[in-house]
Amino acid sequence: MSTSTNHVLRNLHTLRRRMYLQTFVGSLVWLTLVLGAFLVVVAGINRWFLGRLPWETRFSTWAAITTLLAAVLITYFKRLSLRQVARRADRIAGTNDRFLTALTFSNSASENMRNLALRECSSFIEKHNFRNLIRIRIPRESAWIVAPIATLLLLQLDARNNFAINNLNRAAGQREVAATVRALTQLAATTEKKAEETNDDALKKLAAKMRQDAKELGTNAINQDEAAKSAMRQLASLEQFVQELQKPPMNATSEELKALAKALETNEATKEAAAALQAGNLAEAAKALESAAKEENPEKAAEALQRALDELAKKKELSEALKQLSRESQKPGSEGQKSSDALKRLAKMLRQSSQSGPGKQNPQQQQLSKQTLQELLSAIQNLKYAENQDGAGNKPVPGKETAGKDLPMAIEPSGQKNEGGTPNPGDPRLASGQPGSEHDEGTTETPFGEKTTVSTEKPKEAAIRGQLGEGESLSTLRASGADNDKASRRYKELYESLAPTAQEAVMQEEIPLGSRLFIKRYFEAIRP
Amino acid sequence: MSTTAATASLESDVEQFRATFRRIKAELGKMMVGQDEVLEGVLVAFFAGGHVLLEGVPGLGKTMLVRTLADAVNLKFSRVQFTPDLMPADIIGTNMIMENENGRKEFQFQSGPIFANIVLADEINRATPKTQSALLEAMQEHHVTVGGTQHPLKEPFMVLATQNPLEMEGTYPLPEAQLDRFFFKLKVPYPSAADLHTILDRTTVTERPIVSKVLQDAAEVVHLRGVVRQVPLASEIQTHAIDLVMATHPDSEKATQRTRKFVRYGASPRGAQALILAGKIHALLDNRFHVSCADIDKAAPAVLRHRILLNFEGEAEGATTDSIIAEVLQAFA
Repeated sequence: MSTSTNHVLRNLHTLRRRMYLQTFVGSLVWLTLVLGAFLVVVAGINRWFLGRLPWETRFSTWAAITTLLAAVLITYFKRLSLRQVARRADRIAGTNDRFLTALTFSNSASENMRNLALRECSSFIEKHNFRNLIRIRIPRESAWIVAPIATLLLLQLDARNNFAINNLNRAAGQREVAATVRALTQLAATTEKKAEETNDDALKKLAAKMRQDAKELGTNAINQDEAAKSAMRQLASLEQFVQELQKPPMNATSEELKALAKALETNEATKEAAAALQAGNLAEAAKALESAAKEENPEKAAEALQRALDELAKKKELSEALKQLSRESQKPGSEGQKSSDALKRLAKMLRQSSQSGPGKQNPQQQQLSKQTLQELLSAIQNLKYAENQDGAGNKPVPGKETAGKDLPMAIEPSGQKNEGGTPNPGDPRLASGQPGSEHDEGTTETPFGEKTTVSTEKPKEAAIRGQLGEGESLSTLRASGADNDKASRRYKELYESLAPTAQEAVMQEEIPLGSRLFIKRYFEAIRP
Repeated sequence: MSTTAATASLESDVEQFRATFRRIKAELGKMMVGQDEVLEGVLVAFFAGGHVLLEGVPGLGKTMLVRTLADAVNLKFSRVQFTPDLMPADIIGTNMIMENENGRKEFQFQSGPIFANIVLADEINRATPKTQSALLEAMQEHHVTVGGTQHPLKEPFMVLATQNPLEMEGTYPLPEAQLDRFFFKLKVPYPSAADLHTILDRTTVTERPIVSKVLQDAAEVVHLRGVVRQVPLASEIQTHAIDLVMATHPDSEKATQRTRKFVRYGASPRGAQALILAGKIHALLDNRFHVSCADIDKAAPAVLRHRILLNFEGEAEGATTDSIIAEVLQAFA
């Protein structure tokens, strides 16, 4: 190969390197623009959907490295052969295909005319400097890179500003619920202690829930308003949970249980359950009932059960649980499913009774559990009241101890007295913070304090004899307790017995939208 | 002969070609004013061994050009004025009963005007297709057949046909097969005012320009044609020529948008041959020994314009083959 041909090849190699560089620069600019757009989208997602700062240095670094690699890959995949380089060079330089011809004939210039052509092309290329034919230029579009950079910058500034405000709000929210969280944590600790004393699983569960709720309360407090609402929600949920625990699983008397056993005896499938019930082994009875419910035709057993319930209802007042069971059994539904459900519910009740029965806890422990639950309920209601009062405008003032912030005192009495006689909002010494509650429980020194003694003195009864119609009649007047007197029956029990009826009535009536709120408020107000 | 000597000889042949070409062009320029492209086109076709169809209004010097060319290259010239009653035998010649030296009568072939080196077929579109087709064999095979006997034509043989694009009444447009045999179709434009001045100055005085004979004999032309054919080209350049031809075919994937819309038939392989040959001559004239894409592009309009047939839509829209070629050239630039 002659020197002139080598010169042509050297030129072509140089041009090819510059073309690669140009391709790399062009690809890099385009990919950077795409990267910019991508980062803006990611920044938007971070900012508005994930609640994070738009700019993530680590992610952006990786994205930039990926872009760089992609540019290298594009350049690699766009690599050119020397012939392609020659064609491009000829087109750009207007050399009348001298590069291409020289390259073609450099390997096969056997003919005379080819020799002449190769010589002419090589000398032409040698005379001119083509090394700078391909200029490395940054594409015009590179100016657009400013747009994503500016957008990212603005997003970052805006997000920082916004997040600072959010952090302040969160701090305020945390402050708002700090007292409640503290109180709940302490309540949970106390409850755990009590649960161990009483060997009560339900209390343990309650303690765990309290801890969980306290944790959630702290997490959900993103601002002051939300914190208050969240606290109210958590406390209401806890209150409901405690109330559920307070409900006796089954208040059936031994007479009811016997009647039930008798009824269940009539059916072959439930005979085993009846025997267990007779023997007082409720757990065994529950197990037998569950297996009976799984059988193919539980209708007969369910019918016998329903009959027994009806009989008991005729003779005397059924316990609440059995009443509920009877009501639910009469609700419309497929026969098979209904029967099976009735048996299952009864089994559940019996199992709950067995778990809370004398087998696990002694009567003292049961009493203590019951008392603890009641005290907890009061404490939670107090907390709720305190939150409510705070929400109504009695915000805790930083640096000033308010009644709401003293809630832990409810668990660890400090001995402070209510000097004015009027309870402060959120005062743990107030029974429940709900209207009427002071009548059934009375005010005590502590929320777990002793229950005030309900007056056992019977009111005077007066019998008036008179003649009405043909026969003799006797009217009995029973004097009710006066306003300041203690009710002989627990308001809570009364409320619970009447609540389902009231609820049904409300459900059946078509109440105008505007009035629903008032009705709801009314029932909320009279709730124990 | 050593390689160096052979190369030197070839180089001198190329130089001779360039010089001859320029001298003939200069001689033609004495009679034809301001028609450089036409002159160059005619000479390119002459050295490529092709025929030329000249299209232009009467009075532009087409006949003069052909006559001058024949004078300059020192070749036998004949002219045939095509008319509707012209018969093939009037061009080719015929067998006639003649008395030989022994007094016996026999058929003797009396050659027609086609038996010349340069034939001017004036107003070719005025003859009937039958007469037009009489030229086919002569143009392609360089011989004629009369009474079962082939009569070869003398080399070099070139037909220069003229046609008037305006007077179409009573004319017979050339069939595609006939058109395809023309190497170039050159349009003779109307001269500019400055050129007219020169024409008038030269033709309205007593003295008339004298055309010198540049070539000595026909063999010289044949030799120079051989030199032209030796010019090499890279395969990419050949691909470019093929691409241009393929792009004139509406069914080809390389066809341009206007080609697909307005063209019925594209250029034949003769078109590609003509592109390469013309490209070689353009390369030599540009002091190069190799063909470039630019050489091919330069020849494309004259080579392809009569080989592209427009469809009805193209005719109705007023599309021209030149515009389609321009688009094709742009697409493959």
